[in-house]
Amino acid sequence: MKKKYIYSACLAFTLAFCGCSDFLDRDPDRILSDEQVFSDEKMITSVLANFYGRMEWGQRITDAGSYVCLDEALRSSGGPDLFRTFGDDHWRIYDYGLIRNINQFLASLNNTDVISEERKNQLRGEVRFMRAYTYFCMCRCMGGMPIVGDEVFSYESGMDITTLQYPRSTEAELYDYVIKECTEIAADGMLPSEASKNSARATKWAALALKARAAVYAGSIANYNNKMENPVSTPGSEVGIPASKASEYYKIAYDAAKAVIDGGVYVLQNNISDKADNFYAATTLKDNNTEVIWARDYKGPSNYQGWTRDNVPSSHAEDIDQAYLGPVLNLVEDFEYIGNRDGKLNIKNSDGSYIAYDKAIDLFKDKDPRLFATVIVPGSSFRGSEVVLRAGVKRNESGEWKSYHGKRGQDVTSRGLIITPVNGPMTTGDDQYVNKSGFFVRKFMDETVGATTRGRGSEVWFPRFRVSEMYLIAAEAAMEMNDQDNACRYLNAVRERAGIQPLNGTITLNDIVRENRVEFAFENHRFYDLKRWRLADKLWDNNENTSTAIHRVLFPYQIDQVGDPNDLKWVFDATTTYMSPYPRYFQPKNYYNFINQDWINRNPKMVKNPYQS
Amino acid sequence: MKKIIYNIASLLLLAVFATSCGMDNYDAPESKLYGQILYKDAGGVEHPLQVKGTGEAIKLSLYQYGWQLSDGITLYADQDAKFEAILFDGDYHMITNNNNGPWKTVQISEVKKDTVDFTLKGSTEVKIYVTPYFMIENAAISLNGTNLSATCAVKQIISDAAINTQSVFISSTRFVDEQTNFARMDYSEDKSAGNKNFSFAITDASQLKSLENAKNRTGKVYARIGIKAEGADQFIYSEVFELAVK
Repeated sequence: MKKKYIYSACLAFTLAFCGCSDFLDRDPDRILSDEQVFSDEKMITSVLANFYGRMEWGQRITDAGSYVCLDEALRSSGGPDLFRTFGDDHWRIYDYGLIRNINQFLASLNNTDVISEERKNQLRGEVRFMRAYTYFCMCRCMGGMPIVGDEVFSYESGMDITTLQYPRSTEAELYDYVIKECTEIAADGMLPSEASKNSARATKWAALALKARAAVYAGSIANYNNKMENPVSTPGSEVGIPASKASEYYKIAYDAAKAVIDGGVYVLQNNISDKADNFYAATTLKDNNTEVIWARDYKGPSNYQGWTRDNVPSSHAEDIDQAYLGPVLNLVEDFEYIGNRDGKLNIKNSDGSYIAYDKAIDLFKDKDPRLFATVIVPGSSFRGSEVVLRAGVKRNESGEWKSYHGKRGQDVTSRGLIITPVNGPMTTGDDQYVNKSGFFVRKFMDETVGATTRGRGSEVWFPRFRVSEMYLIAAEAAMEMNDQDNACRYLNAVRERAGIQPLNGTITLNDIVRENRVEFAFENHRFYDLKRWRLADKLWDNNENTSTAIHRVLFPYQIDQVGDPNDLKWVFDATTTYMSPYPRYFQPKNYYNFINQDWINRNPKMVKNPYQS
Repeated sequence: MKKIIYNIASLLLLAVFATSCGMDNYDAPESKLYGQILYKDAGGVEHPLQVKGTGEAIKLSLYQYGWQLSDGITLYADQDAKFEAILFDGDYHMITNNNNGPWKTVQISEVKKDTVDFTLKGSTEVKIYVTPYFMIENAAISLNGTNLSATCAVKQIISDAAINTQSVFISSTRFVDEQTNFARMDYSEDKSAGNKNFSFAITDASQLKSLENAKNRTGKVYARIGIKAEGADQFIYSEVFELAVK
């Protein structure tokens, strides 16, 4: 009896001692506290890496499908893409989480003493640049949004939460805020003026570039919104800028763009005599690059991107992925010729008969060299060898040319010509991994061996600001302010670098629209440019008969007719495509994304956007 | 012991089944709201309108005051500009968007602007009045082989409106509009109100194929005339004409 009690007492005693372990008192090993981060300079800089990586928005090379929505490329791989209407939240950006984190960073930076004040100012400049860029991206999607300044909000139970609810600013106020922030951080002592490695980090020039872009956007909205039949606006001006403000915004844009150009750190890259190679180097290659002001950089092994892998021509693929995007004929024909502004390809004579070419690439003779740096056309080369694109062969049967297509890379004519090579294009069908437009992408495509494998990827960057945009902003602003001399000067500088004839008439908006279209293809400019000029609903009008609204493709054929004078020469068919059956439908309500009802439920002071209620 | 457990378990199960039907705490709504968007001219005569009924084109939002959340109920108009919803009884206000549809909304009062207030009790009809930019009257469409001929009178209602696009659409179903069609022809001459005579000779290979498919399937295609005013976000249409394919 007694033994039982002694044993249980001993048991209880031992249990009491080992029952308390420190398991629940551990420090978290995944969350770093403020003190830990802000007591070490390297840790502070690493926070910036997190911020830079969070601004992955809109059309970009890590989201190849995003290029199918507009008029740059179609989806080649798989079945048709049925895109037609733009959703109410298409490419909508809303990231107050990032803004809050930036504000927290700024607050903690004030309190730390491990780095000098000078260094602190540089970091302040960088995060404020990112914050301004975030606001800018929200503004061009939705108009005015709540400006929270440097506030780091905190919540205590029982407090009056209406003080946390900020109303939307006006659209003009938000552009003004972005402009003001950029002006302050571009001043001496904050952002550095030296170029950063691979242009990955913000510099004074990036801030001025953002200032120029924000100002020209605000100016165009003030200008063109009010010229619409039914201007898009809200009563409180959360959307809509008064026309009277246009000229002051154009002046700010002009001065900021000119400051970047005159600064001399970034210049129009023009040191290769072959203008196509030159433009490719200026946009895609990082070595000795003087063109790109700020980019989303990639570096292996943890940070590769798959643009080259997804889009490589089949003949050059090193792995399974290939031929996802096919640039459309619309884009190819928007590039001018060196001496002729009408970029239409000469496929047929006026009587409807085919024009035959000795080589496929001859069709594109004297086209704007930027075309060859943006798009791989039939017969051009990639990674040193030719990219053969041939839909099939044509044979003359009782006066009519009939098309014959073969199994890719297999079926041959009686003379041994492969009817349809591996690259295709296929004229129709749901096959994956095969081209269906007649063109491949070249911009941002990496010729490094291994870049198209699944194990590796590409380190090619995605430029966000280039110095040629500064030239085009200066030209646009000058044109709008009736300064034709400077408009000509800046526009022709870009054209001369490209390798095409300068313009000597009056520069109009149409010239600016066209130049931006071909200079910045695939760079996430087109959507926002057409929005700010209020041209989007005219060009993408849901009408399959409107050439700008519906995708068109180009199929190359070789003539297989022994004895015909054009035997083995190339002819081309331009048609609409099975892969994009619908025209693009941009409605007036798409100029501004809708405000999410959840945001309004939490902050009733937010006003809905036009067409929304 | 086992028996007791079985009994209790089956009793519980029975209880669950018996009461599970009564889990819902509200009955489904039963009151029907129905109505139409109309044009009422100066003489008080009501004219029905023909619009795009597909793709959520014409939106009407219903709101009620006094609830915690401010989400609206969205109604969409069909091709005859009619709408319907089954709701609970109560006071509602309906908002149409001024720039949504081939019309300008009618201001009802200074304060309420174009919001229509109504009380829903049982089955209630609500009419929304708008002023269209143009109206298509006396439309007639006929199909002879592959030649379509469409006539109508386009009447200008808003005096400073201009015509942006005038088109004829052909579809293989009763739904015909700018988005739902297999053939479309735009006419760029004489963009002013008045009598119109459009002819459409179908020659495109894919359109002829669609015509052939419709002939084999139902023997009929459907067509409408559409007029889009400058600044409007949509077309106004004629009625849907059913055409026999020979």
